[in-house]
Amino acid sequence: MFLLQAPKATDFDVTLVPWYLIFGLMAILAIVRFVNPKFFFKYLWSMDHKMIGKQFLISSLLWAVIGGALALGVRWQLAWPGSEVPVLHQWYGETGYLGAVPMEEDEATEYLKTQDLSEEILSYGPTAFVVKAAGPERYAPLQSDTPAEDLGLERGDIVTAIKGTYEGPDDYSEDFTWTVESKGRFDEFRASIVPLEVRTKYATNEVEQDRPDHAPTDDEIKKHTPAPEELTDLGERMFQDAVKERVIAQREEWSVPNKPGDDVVLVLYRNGSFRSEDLEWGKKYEEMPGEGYNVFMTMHASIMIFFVIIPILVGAFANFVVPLQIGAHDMAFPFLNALSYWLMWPAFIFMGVSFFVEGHGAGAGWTAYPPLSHLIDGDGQTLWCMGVWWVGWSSICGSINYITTIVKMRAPGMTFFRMPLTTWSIFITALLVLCATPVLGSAMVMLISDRTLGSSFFLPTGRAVSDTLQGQGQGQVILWQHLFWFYSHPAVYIMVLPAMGMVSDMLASASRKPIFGYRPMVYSMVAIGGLGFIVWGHHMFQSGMNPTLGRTFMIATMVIALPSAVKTFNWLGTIYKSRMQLQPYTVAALAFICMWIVGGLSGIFMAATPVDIQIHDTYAIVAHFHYVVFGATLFAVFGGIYYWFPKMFGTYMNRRLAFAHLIGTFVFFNIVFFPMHVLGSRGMLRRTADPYFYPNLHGMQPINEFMTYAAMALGATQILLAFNFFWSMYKGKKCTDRNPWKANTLLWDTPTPPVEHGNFEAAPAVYRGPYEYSVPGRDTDYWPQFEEPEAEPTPTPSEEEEAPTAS
Amino acid sequence: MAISPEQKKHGAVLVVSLAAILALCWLMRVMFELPTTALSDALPATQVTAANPQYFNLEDGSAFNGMGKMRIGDEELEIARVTAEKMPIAKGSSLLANPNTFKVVRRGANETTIAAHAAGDEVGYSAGTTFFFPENNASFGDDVDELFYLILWITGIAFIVTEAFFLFCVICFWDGPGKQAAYVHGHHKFEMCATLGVVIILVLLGLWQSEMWTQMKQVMPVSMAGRADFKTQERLADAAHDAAAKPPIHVQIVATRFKWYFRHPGLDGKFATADDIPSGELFVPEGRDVLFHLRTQDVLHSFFLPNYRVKQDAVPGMAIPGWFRPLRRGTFQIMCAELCGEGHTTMGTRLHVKTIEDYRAWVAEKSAEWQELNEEEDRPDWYGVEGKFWWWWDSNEVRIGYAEDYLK
Repeated sequence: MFLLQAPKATDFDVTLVPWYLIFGLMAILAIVRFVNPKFFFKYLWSMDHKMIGKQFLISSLLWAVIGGALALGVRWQLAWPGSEVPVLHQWYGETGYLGAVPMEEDEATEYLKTQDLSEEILSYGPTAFVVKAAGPERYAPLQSDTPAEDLGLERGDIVTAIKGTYEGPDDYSEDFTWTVESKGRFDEFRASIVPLEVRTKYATNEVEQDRPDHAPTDDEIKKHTPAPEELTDLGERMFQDAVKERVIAQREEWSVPNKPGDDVVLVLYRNGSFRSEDLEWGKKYEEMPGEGYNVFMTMHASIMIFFVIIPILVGAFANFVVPLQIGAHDMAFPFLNALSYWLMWPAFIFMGVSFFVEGHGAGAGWTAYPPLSHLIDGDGQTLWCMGVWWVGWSSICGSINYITTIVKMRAPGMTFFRMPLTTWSIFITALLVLCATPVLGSAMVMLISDRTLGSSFFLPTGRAVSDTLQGQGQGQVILWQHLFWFYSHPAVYIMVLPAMGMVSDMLASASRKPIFGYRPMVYSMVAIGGLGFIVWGHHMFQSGMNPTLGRTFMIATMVIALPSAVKTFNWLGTIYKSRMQLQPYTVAALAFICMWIVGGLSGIFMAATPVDIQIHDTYAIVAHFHYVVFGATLFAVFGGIYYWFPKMFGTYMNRRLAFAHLIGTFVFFNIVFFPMHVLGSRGMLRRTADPYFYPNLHGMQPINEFMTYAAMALGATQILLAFNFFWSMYKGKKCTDRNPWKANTLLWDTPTPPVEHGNFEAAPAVYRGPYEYSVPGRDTDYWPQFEEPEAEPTPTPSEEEEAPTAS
Repeated sequence: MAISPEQKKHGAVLVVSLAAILALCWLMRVMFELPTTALSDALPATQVTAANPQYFNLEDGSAFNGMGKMRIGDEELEIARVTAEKMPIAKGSSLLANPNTFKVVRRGANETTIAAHAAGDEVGYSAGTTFFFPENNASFGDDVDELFYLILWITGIAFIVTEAFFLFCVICFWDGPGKQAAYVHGHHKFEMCATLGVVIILVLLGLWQSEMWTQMKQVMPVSMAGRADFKTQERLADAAHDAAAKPPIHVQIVATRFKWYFRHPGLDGKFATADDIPSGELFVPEGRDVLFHLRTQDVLHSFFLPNYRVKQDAVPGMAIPGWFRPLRRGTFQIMCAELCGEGHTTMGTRLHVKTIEDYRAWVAEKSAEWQELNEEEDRPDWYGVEGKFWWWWDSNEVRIGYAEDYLK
């Protein structure tokens, strides 16, 4: 019956917003379908694989803008942790950065009074802001007991600042004079800053009452303020525990001044604990650092992985290229193909809406490790899970389609070992997606269930949050990590295998030379695909997993470096003694190789378990995966755009802009990410909003600032691509040539752009392998797969690698 | 066999490429130049006290990582991170700076001398940083660093060779009049050799580190006799830190959002008794094995000691053991390496390594204090009261982590 109850008008459930939007989108699509069916069937609900590929490409590029903006927010925070992040602070500023907003003491008090402190903030007890301090940032436990009574504190007192004045030269702990700078009764303090309606709700634990139209009078405050023993809230209880007796002295850290006359201050954090801070006069600390930053980095990673890299590789290029390269008229299941794109839209909507609910997005990292992802308040995290779940559906639909298409719909003569490497890589990637994604989907459902239904798949017994035991139990935390990485490690290869394939195609065409070691290339991709399923544990070496298992995963990880190395050697072999064409895709493919070497080699450090102890969760890891996913994969994507753009849209992209974009990206990318190797191994932890909180990381701020400037330049450079892409689509030089790059695959046998359904004007046939460039004795330096052989005999390849023969 | 002009040119380019990549590596080395001289080089042999201060003569730029300022006379010097609890400077001036190592960026007319002396028993020297890792202070750390540098050499050579070859190809093989690409499909022998070579290197690497990993993570220091032999121990056997046959120091650690709690067993050597010492920072003796038992109350945390090559996630529902042995006294950073929420970045504290005598004195003093406190009527909240902190540890049994045999 619960489900049948109509929601009350006041109960606006923000989690339903995505559903409204999805239904709205469906309605809009339906309207367009009937009003303008031609437009609808051509551009929206298109069954044509080429249009679906373009849809994927454009929506992913648009998401990349958001993901990139978030990355710049992350960089800004790392460079200047005390300052507001431009634009984004409107949403995240109030939920906090570590860092102080300059403010006079009176001003701060006034500010607090005007703030509409939400219930959530108050539930942690009062926040201290007004501090007065000086002195160096040094911490030491005050082991001598300074009972609260000596400071004149009683149960229920609130202390916003305690000043200790250091007097003697030696033995500091004895020679402080502690004075309470500002003190008040807890209830008074709260009453003075809390809007009445919040307080009412707080006191009675009931639904919010009507907002009064006048400021609270003293009587009202008294009436609504509970006696200390009635306080039910954790934060208040904790606060009072902390204040009373000598707990202060035992649990908290005090800053220690170095010279006589220095002041020391305790700051009361919202969770009721004290912490000394090195603050300057009149600065107000936000109530807790890091929330906004955590959202930035979580959403940056999630968007870039799930909405940009994977859809571009497995959605856009795979869709566009695979049927054309194997000579199919379309995908095996056009409807499923359209579905795989449109299932991204619920994901887009869920993730998009998660920015506008409480918390402004998910904040548990893209790995969403419970119990943190369970503990985080707000609907952002739940919506994030839903979004990822829908992406999973999209991926599964796509992968079924690719596998079927590649297995069943190859043109006559297109044997497996005549397939271009792009198609091979998509084939293997699709197998990975199909086997791994359901695991992630199930894990997401379990997590959502933990968050919303009260189950406890990932929650062990005996958890206590803020010293209070939690109800749910009997679960296993590490289970999530196994499930998650069982998907996400293959996902790493999903994010790079298609790029490898694309680069191989581009490189052969660019260097006018057959791919060096076609079969080893294929075998190594197969090996990566297979081994990719047994190395997930290398993300979990420090996770509490049995170390014996860690050793197993270490060996497996060492082994998976092998196929990657083989591929690298083969690319180098391909460009050796080649005749490279000066084209944007050549530069992109070369940049891919160059960056892949760095990213691949730095992976060996992480595979070595003892070394991983030191660099796990540091910026060394960040550097490694950005070299792989940005340095390698994104350059392949850029190259893919420049390479297939004429076939996609019938126009050329501007070459000069393309070169400028690629070179700028290469330079700035390296400036941003290379230093991270060093910073990380020196101990700079990832996912910290303010690394300089740690004294041993203080010296890293200047270089981080430098990296942030480079990141801004890197972001600005991408404007060149965006402009070039959309401008060339409409105004670029027309391309009527079927084969503008003089390449070999069947894709170049189609009209430019290909006909809408069917792709090929005549049924294609394949006579040879895809990389027959610079064949001796021919007039042209390329020999397309589709060109019928003449009577003369095929020249013998110069090496053992046998030339594929027609079957 | 005659060498064609083209081959000559290619050879020259190859050499130039190699030189360019090497120059790039050198540039990186210089750009990120941080101190390779650690304070430990100057560590005095005897205990430094207020009465017995120790003076260091520092060379320009000898060690640093950080920032701060120092005033000597009228001269203001930039200082990066200064070690020790208090560090008055020679000539009576004071030093406002941050802990750990220090560097004199600019020197005055005379040689700059910085004095460090002790404040009570809190004397120590925090580690500096080597080019890559923070300075090591753990018994097994040298092995880890050795492995790191081994991998660095292997990958470094691979990097230089492949990137130089890459650069050579990029320079030499552009399209041009009269150029002809080779028609080559592969080279079977090359593939086999490359594959085998890489496999051998990787497998050897795997074998090299396998035992080290076990020793660090799995074999807990019940007694030194029970542990398999280990290079570091041999190295240390003749050192002053003779830990053999000495039982490990036990410490319980609880991670919460966003704070570390430590409990030392006190004089009786048992946990959950009245003389336990709770603290917000960790105190251990030098040269002795420290066996910690790591738990978390709420979410995942990770106990990270950058100077000790120790990192271990704290997992709800599990008690995970781990160990390290400090080589030198000092004050070191403890960090939380696993995202634990909005305050993750503030979740740090200190590790204090004392001499064994100081440590014993500390334990005796604190243990007696806590015993007295706990036997009072209004004993503190943490002990034996429902809903309080260490009560949680004592009343919530968990599955012991993977190394169940470490208690035997």
